Amino acid sequence: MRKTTKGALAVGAGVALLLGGAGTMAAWQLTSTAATGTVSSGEFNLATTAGATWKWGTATSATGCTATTTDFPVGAKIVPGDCVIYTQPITVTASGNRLVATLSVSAIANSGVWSGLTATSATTMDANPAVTGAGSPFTITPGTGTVNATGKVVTTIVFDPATTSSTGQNSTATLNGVTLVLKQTAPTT
Amino acid sequence: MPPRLRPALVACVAVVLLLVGSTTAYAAWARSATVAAGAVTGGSFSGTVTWSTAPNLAGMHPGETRVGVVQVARTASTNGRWVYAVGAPTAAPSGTVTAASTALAGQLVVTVYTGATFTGTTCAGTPATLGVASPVQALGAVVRHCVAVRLLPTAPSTVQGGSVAVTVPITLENRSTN
Repeated sequence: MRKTTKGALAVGAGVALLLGGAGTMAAWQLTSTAATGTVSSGEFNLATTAGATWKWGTATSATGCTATTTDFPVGAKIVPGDCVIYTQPITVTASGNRLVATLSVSAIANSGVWSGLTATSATTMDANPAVTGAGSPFTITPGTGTVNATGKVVTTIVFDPATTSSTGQNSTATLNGVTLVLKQTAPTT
Repeated sequence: MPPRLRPALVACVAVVLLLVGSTTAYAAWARSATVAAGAVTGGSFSGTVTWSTAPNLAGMHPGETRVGVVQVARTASTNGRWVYAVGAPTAAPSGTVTAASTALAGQLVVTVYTGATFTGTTCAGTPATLGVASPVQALGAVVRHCVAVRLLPTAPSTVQGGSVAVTVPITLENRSTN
């Protein structure tokens, strides 16, 4: 074989070897970003709202009371046959697609209550599709929307009209009312 | 498998494990509020029964009538409405009990009238119904009744010198504020 032909064959083989190697080698790359978007938290609140009222009533029994529209002035004193009605509005605000909450009411002990004086509280929630239950505990389930559920705590204080002698004269009773607790519970699914 | 693919597969498996983790510890939102009625105070109740015009009963003679006016009122700063009832008047010997006093007590007729005034020795109105509650009175109301005391014309002479106290019992009772 002629000399020039030998050299050309040797170079061709060397190039082939380099292409088949497993050492350092550049590789095509592609970078992409998976965006999760924004995440929002829900809302959860219980509050007493403005508009609380105190009204005189007339006792119909030891515990019964017929309300009037007459305001009960601060510091007014009650006598047998009187009753007083205290109404406090409340609002429950809740949002969260899987949120489930309960609203429970518990009484707080009173002090200084004299014989013939009774104080009772009742909590009611206004009609709302996200609120169920006839009384404590209520269940709040906002679903996909935001709940602004309203209700009220009504405290009725009755001085038994059949009270005799001087029972309760110049006495003061402290009515501590109730505690409302709004609490998230575990979702069912 | 070419070695350069192995690291990517390991990372995916680790992420899956974290998402399936424990459900026993459940944090929960909670809010509370207190609705307190505060303090209520009982009022007081007292009243007075006095003679706004005291009858002069000294030296009465048979057939004579003497008159006075009794006044019923609530004490200021007390509370609530009220009613009252007039009880049966009494005449009883006063001081040292003597035969004359005892005799005199039995010869007196005491009448409470509905009217609050008198003319001469005649009370206005008609005899009040005893023992029956009055209409409900406002807190600051003052009520009066004329009272006539008559010594019967048939009173014997044995009553002379006797001494008797005349009493008109009136009971007050509270009613509700409204």
